[in-house]
Amino acid sequence: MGDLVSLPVIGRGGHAFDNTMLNLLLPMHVQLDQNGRIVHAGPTFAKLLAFEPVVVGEHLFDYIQFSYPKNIVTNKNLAAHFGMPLTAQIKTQSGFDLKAVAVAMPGNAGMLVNFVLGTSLKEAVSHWHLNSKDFSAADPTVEMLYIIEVQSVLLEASRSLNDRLNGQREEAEEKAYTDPLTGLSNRRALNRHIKRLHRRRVSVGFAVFLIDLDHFKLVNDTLGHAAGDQVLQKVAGILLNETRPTDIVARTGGDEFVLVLEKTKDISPLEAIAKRIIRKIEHPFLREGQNCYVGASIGIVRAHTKDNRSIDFHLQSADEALYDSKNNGRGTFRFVG
Amino acid sequence: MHGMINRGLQSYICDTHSVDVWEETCERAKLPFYDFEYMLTYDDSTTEDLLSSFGALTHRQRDEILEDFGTYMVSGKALNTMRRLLKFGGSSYVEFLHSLNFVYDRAKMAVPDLDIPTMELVENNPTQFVLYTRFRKRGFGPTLLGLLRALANDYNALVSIAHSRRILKHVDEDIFTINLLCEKRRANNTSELVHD
Repeated sequence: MGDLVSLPVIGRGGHAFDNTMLNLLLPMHVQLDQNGRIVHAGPTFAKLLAFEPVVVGEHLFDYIQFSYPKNIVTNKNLAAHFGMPLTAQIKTQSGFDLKAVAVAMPGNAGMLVNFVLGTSLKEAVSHWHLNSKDFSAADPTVEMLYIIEVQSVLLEASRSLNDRLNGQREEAEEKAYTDPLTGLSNRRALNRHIKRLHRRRVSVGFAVFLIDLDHFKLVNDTLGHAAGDQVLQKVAGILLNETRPTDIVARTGGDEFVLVLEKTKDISPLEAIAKRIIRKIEHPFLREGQNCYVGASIGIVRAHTKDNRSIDFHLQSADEALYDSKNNGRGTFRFVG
Repeated sequence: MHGMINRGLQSYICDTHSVDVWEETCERAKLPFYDFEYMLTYDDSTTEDLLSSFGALTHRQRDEILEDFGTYMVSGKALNTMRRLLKFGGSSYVEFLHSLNFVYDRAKMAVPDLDIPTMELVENNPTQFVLYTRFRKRGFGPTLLGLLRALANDYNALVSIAHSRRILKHVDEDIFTINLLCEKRRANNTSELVHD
């Protein structure tokens, strides 16, 4: 391998490039004798190893550890990798990855290893206070540095912009799906929930409760809207308490609420829930020394995602059952069918 | 103007005055926000409105503000990146001056829509240089004057800079004649790159 790659900077006519020229062209190179001792180091390489003045005669392997390929630990190993891409680290200063390539000097005069700062360019520039003069005038290091610096500023800016936009989006979404007075879901959220329910791979039975408050208008008219709002908030609390987190509780109109309860095969637990809701809502609550009385009527539909009906269809049937309850003296519930 | 430049002005006003002054500047300029985004481009009139409301608020002339802003770009902490990149150009003020020939292309490569002037340096003799800059946006020469002076200071170079402006049909041409009186080379003059 070593015979195949000859030192590219040596002219064919035998005119050797002197060290001044090499320092300009390859400021991060190092020349080794056949035993791996440093014969000459380019100025930037010397800076990196804190060779000042350049320590000639030292072993390169005392300062440099090759990290890829792993088995380069002697001069002979290095000679077996002429012309190949190598990566190395500085032993005295961890964390800086160097890229390297080694070539044989003509006439068995040892070898030349040229290093460049790879991905650690930015850190190295700031650590060793390097400037453009430490690199060959004809290499794109400065341009790379511009890209790296600007990119890190922009990346940081874009991250903070994304965070803010995401926060605003979440807030907007939450507003779009929430009833601001009670914090319950609104009709849009209810539609979304039902659509999701139908998209699931496993079909599921569910019940839709349509709840309408009794005498709510009276509270509003006699005690005022603030009292009405308080009643709605109290009802919202009751409904949330009577349902599981996976169920949805929505306020779909002035004093109209909808529950969708999943996995409800039997009628009796539904009856129990309906009874509890009605009892709790009927319980008067004290507001500014006055008792507020409201009640609730409920229409209940039992459905299955297999039927593939829209929420509007279910609400229409539930509305008929609700109408029945209202006609049956209010404060009660009816099932559809 | 590019968001980076407006954002630079924001840092400048916040750091050299206060957030309060900045917010009042924005309000006077009738901006609907207080924070510029690095990655957006704003109408040129926005920058002009900012400069005039800040001038009115602090009783300073536009040229004076811009020159001070140029100084801040080099010495202010917030714009470290800018300073690092400029100082990477060389280990002496003269080397830095020569590197200005490449700044436009490098900046355009990194941020294609950034608006900065084109720059051309002519060396009359080893201690006298003339920098010609051309910019489509008018009246920003003083920024560069402040920047050139601050960097001379940073490199420990004693210079005198004369600035003149020519209003051409499509661009402003600013001419900076730089006389190098003395440049002290430090033993390790590159160390100032990060030390502050």
